[in-house]
Amino acid sequence: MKLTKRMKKLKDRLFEVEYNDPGTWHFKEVNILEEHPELTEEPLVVRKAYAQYYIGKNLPVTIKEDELIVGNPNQNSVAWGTVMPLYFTKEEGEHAETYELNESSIWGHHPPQYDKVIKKGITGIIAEINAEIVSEMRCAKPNPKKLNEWRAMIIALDGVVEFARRYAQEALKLSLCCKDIVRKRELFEIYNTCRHVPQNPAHNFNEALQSFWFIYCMVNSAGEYVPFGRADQYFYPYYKKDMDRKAISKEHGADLMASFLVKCNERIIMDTKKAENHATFGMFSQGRIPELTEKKAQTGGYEQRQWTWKENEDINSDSNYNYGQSGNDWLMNCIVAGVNENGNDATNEVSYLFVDLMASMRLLMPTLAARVHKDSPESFLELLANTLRYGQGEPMIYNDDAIIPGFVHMGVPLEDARNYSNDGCWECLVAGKSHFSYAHIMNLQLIEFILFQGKSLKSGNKEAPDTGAPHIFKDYNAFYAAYLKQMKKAIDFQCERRIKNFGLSHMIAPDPLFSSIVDNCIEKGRDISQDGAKYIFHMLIITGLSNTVDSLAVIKKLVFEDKVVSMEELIQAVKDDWKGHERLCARVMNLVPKFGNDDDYVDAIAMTLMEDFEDMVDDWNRKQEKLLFCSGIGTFENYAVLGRDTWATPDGRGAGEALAPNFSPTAGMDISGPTSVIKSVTKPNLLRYFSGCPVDISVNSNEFEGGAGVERMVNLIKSFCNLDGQIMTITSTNVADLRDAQVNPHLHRDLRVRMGGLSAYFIAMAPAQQENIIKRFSR
Amino acid sequence: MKEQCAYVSNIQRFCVHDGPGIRTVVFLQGCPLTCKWCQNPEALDKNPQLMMSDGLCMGCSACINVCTKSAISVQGNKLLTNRELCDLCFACTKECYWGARKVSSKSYTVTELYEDVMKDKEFFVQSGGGITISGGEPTMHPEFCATLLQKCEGVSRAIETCGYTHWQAFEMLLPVTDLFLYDLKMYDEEKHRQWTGVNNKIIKDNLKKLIDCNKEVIIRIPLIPAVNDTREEFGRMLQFINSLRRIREVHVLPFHQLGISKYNQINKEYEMPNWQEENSNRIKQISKQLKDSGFRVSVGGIGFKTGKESKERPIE
Repeated sequence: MKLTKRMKKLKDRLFEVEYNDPGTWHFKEVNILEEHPELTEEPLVVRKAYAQYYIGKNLPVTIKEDELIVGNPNQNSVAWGTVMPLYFTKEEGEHAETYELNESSIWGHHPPQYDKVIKKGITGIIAEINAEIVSEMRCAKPNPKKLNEWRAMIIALDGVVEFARRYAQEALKLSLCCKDIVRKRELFEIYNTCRHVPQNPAHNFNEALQSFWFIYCMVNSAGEYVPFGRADQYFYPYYKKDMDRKAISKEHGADLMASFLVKCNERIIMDTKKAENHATFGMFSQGRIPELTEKKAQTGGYEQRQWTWKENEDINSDSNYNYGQSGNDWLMNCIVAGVNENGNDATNEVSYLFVDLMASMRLLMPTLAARVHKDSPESFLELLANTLRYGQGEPMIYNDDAIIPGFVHMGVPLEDARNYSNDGCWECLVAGKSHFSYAHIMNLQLIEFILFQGKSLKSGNKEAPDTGAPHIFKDYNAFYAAYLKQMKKAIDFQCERRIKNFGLSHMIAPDPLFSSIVDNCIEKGRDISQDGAKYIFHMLIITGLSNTVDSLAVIKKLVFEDKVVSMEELIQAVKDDWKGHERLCARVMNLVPKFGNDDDYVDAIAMTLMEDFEDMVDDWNRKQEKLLFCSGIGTFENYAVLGRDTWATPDGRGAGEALAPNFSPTAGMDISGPTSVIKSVTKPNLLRYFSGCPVDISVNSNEFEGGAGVERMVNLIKSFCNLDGQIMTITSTNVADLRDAQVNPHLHRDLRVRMGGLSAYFIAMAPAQQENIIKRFSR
Repeated sequence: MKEQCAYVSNIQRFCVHDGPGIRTVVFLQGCPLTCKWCQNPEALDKNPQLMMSDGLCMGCSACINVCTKSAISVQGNKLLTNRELCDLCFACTKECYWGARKVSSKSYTVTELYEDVMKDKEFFVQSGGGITISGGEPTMHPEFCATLLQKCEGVSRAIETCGYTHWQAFEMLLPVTDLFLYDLKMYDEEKHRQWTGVNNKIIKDNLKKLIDCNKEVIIRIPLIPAVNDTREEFGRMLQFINSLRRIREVHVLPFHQLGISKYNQINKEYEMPNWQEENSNRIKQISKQLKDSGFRVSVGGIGFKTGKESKERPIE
């Protein structure tokens, strides 16, 4: 799309001003109990609501030049510290800490029901809450917990209204003294909009965007990292209405959309040294029963947060490694197009605007995904193809025809299944109705546990069961049986733990604001951090699948079938981190089939492993009813740091080397091109992996030139879908550009890359990450 | 009867420069020409060659131990192979886990090759792509290629050829081939002999006959600076192409020296290492001349024909 004058100005401001100084954070010194001692008597959830109200009342109000959509959230990326005012007592804090929880133990990830706010307005939602209160009060014994949750919701929602009201005032003030007659009118329009939404239902496209943005700002500012869900679906009815009655021009519609998208990017941090290493799992504690506490880094473990670049350490030190991934509004994902709840194509003009504007303006956020299906319009697929072939790596492709049946198989009603969206990373859930969490199963390390009888080579500690002396396995089946034992133990551990700790975080980190806009929290009078949401998903994730499968192939082929390497020899090599075993390492790397090359020998190992995994996870759905346990494959953007904590492995991988990202083949090992990768990842039945197993495909941009190139990309996407593939990213670039960007970062400020859930400006990635990306393209 | 075999030097999936749609290109061993600019010198001989990449050699000496001809010796920190002594048994390649020693090609039966190629059938069908047989020179194996292409019916089938073969070879391929990518290197017969080792009369004759058979033919010109891009030589080529009926598309393939590493790998001398590589201005002029003559012109060979076209309008 050709950028309008306004778009150019907005983009310039973003790249020239905002990216250099995205602003500071607020409120970490504020304690609302000191400001309002009378609140001490209130239950914690109500105090939290007052803290949220406080944010709405005190966030700075700034209206920037040329913008049509206004408002900025707190700088609430993981990079930026505690954003909430304190609302709990010292004792409450200390008590929570014994459960490895604190006020930051908010899970985020899942989108709220933005469309409900747009449609009903906050007034409408409060009316709904009041109705529940009235009906509860009629009971013989009204439930005080429910009543307090509802009270808290109302207070927190008032904070959103207050936030908007302050913007309205600012816009009016600016409008009154503005000399430029055009801008004066625009500011007055902003005043009218902010005066009206999100308190009331939106009337037009402008109001729908603004209403959405205010609610996002407030939810995000209180520590909840939330994605956008199906934003194009929420906006389109208003866009269409404006177009039908010719209330705005197409150009103005695009300008509004562009202004909205620019707001999403104003908090990006380009300087890797300013970003925090979030891979320590510090924030996302799911809590632990004190008696069960093991000091072991797990997802959801609570550890001291590490932040800021340490100048006196090299780029590979513990604190400096893996930086540069969190320099944005974390988890701000958005998914467009796809079918509606009736199963009909719902790709609309706003879907096109999202894709086109993100690419034309070279924007990073929201991280964009597109749903496709067998009836997707050809022109939409062409737009995706055209965007993807220029190396954007986005949008990520989601195949409705493969994902929706998975939800249904899980027991989710078809209408809800068709309304799925992605969460903050890439996992699929039902937008506005879900609580989503996950845990990694360290599949690769399980092999280490067999080879070293339960011991971790990295820590030296016994961390898993002893499945017997490894050299006595008589064949591969016996070895694999031990593997299944290790895997079952790991899955059971995580599932049991999640059942026990679910709801714990409510003691310190409830979120009444977020809860007020998630089905069925109002109806139940329960918080999202309890069991308020309609669906509670917990995904168990195969971590390092490709390395695991390649390792198993090495053991199967070289040790048991060809009998050319003894188990002892292999164990010694792994233990020695392959040092002194270079010839064996070369044999392992180059002469054993590798996942991702459409080689049935090794792909069959993946198929079996995945089936066994999903069976074990599925068992837990028969054992209890509260949580929906589902299977996925992933590393997120943490494949480097996950690898850093893993010792050498039988696939020839050295100690500390990155894992293969998500469902992708190991970097440098997929030597047969993109079609082979697609074939390998679609051989297993992915039905029960509906909540996510993304594969990253890298292609050379010069293979997609001209009209034939667009068509080729469309066909690559269609073939992936025909083969029942699920989620795919296609990144096209060339190595020369990436190399040049390392040397001349200033010339490549807008070079973006994408791997699974990670989307980042290349120059803002850690050198180690950059090398990993380059390796993928250097075939 | 034993199934026919051929030496295959490479099977490359997801190729985009060798016909419409998403394709798999099969490179066969053996070529009747010896073009001085050849990019695949390891495929010239009709038999597999030993290829060695010094950069990958770790000096583990495992190859020395298995060589029955004592053809490999240590010289300083490098391993030297005496090609006079080597009898091409390739035992050393099996011991070389780093891939520093490789065989240039492997023998495939038609069925084996068919199964490998058809792994991407889903992509061929969706994109209107298919198989392209290249080389080496496919027409050196007409029966093998004809049987293979016969089996591949239903997807797009292309042959990339230098045209230097008996007409009978084309007769065998005609019924099972949808598209010929036909190399035209020079018009001048003497020059052609000097640069490629053979006379081009038969090449030109075969091209004319092929066109008379109503087959879709795309002409491909490897444009070598100062060899065939001169005003005089290219002028004659253009005149010749203009005289042919039914040619709609011409691909200009720029000269490059990336193949030099392969010459080193088979210890063969590359005659054009210092040849001028850059001729982008000339490529532009020549493309324009071709376009002015009414041809669709692609530099690099990615082509215009979309898979859609090839699906909707089968070759008449």
